[in-house]
Amino acid sequence: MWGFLVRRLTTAFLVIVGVAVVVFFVIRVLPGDGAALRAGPYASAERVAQIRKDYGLDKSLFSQFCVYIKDLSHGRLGTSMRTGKNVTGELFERLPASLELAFYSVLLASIIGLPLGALAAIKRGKVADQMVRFFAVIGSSMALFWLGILLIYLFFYILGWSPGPVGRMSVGQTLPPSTTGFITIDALIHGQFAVLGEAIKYLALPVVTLSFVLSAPIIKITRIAVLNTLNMEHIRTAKSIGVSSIDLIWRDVFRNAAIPIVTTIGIVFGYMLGGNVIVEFLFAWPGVGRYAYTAIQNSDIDAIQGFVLLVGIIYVLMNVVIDFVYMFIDPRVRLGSDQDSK
Amino acid sequence: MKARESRKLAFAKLRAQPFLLAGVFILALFMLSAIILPFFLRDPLSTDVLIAFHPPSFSYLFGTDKFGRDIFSRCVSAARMDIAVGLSIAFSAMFFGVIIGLTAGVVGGRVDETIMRFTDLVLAFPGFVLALVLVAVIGDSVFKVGIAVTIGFIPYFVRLIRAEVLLQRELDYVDAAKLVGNGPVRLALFHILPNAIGSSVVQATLVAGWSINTVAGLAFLGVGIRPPTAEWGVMVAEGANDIATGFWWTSLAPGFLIVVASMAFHLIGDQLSEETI
Repeated sequence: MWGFLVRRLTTAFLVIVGVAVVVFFVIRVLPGDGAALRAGPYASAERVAQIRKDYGLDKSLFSQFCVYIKDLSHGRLGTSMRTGKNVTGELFERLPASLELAFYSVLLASIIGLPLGALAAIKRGKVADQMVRFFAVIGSSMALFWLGILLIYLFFYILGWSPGPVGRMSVGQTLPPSTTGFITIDALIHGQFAVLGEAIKYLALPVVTLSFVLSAPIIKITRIAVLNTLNMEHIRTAKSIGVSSIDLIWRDVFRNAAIPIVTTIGIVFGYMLGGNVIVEFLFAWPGVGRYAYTAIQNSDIDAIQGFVLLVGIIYVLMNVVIDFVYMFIDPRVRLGSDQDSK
Repeated sequence: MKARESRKLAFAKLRAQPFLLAGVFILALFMLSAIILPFFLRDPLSTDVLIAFHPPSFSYLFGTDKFGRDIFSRCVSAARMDIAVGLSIAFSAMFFGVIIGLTAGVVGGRVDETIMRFTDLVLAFPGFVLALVLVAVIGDSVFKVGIAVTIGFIPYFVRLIRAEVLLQRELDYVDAAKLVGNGPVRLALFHILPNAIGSSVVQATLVAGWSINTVAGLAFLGVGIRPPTAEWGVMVAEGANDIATGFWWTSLAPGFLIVVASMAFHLIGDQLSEETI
């Protein structure tokens, strides 16, 4: 088991190195002049040259790459051109907000997606199946930003049930001391229930928007995984000797169908952590996605680079986590890896 | 006689698959209106402040926006662009993905290893983020957005085709084709490819749907396709601020059309993949 762990982390590290090289290539080597972009369309040639010098863009590609790798090995992702601060710090400051939004969205999407997917599989070809499949099709084709705008219009402007799209909290609200970075959990720990209620109100619309879209892949993969499992011989045998179907679904089917489902939920979660630019922009959510949006609007090269790297690294690490979860739910993975590490 | 029977059978099959039927119908409707309607409509770019924020009515089906542009004409003109871009992305991603995946599967060894590692690297980024950053770096234009989104989708096809090729390679017909003297290129293109491409075609319909969403999403963020181009995502973004002042119709129609157009492709793809389970 430990051998598996070490090997898995080594490959993950190699992939991260590859990711770093790709990001460098995309940001610095592809056609496009960062300094000119930053200086704006009316800047003089001297100004562009000055910016190029300030950010080391005038050196050779190779020496730029060496500086980049050296900084990276110290955990430095460069300096934001817009704020002049360290990009690493700025990103990590915003990560908890994204994490909280991602967590609740994926949670709600799973609560919707798992039972619906299983239901569709059991009732394959029936009306219930058709309806669930249609729901998943709408989810996959939904334009996130449009759904968000509609929900804001309905629940904020018309009904007034929800706060406006201004982020995690109203301005001036004192936050609970930051223990976990999740406002909901911090509020709970410190017993500030009013703050907890507020936080949930602000979370509701972005979470509903996201989970509507995220439930689609979870429904699809659960349906297929359960369908495949229902065709397995031992399940058919269990059914034929009269094990009740609810028992069967809970105990046997979900266990056997767990691997593809866990993979999908993990990937969706990894995607959410960094890929959530649209919803964070729409709801003014102070997370990494919104940071990336601002960086792109300002052509802030180092900040964009830091953001992509962070997203890539989170994605790779998420895959490692998924592999570890496999070991807990599937003894075959655990035992198999033990054998070949001998 | 036989042709008519098989046509009858095809229709009966189509009727039994409401998803496929609905998808094809919506798509046909979109394409027809995108081709024919522009001849009868107002110029999607012409402005007239006197009729700004005209609510939906008989003469302005979807209303007008803050510059007095007719939203219906803009939506139709955008349908042309969005569906064409979505289809082109799906086709080119499949084209390059198939060539690369076929090479990896047929040649094998070092080449295969290198291609697959590179595919993993591209897949280490969520497609939307990759496209967002690529466009931010290489600049805005419809063509560049197309390239940026395509790159993110190529690996899906590489993996699919390669997996299929590895399965097919073991089958007897491949040995038979080799024995009668087919060279490796001929073998790959004319014998293995036709048997391996099915799942990629299904994937391509889904990719067309996702591409429409991705391109519109980028445009909504102000990346890629920019105002005043008539594009659904651009129109939703332009209308987003008007909602606060009570003009609800400016983003409503373009956003709805994004969903419907993307849905047409997803309906088709969903039914096709259902057949393969």
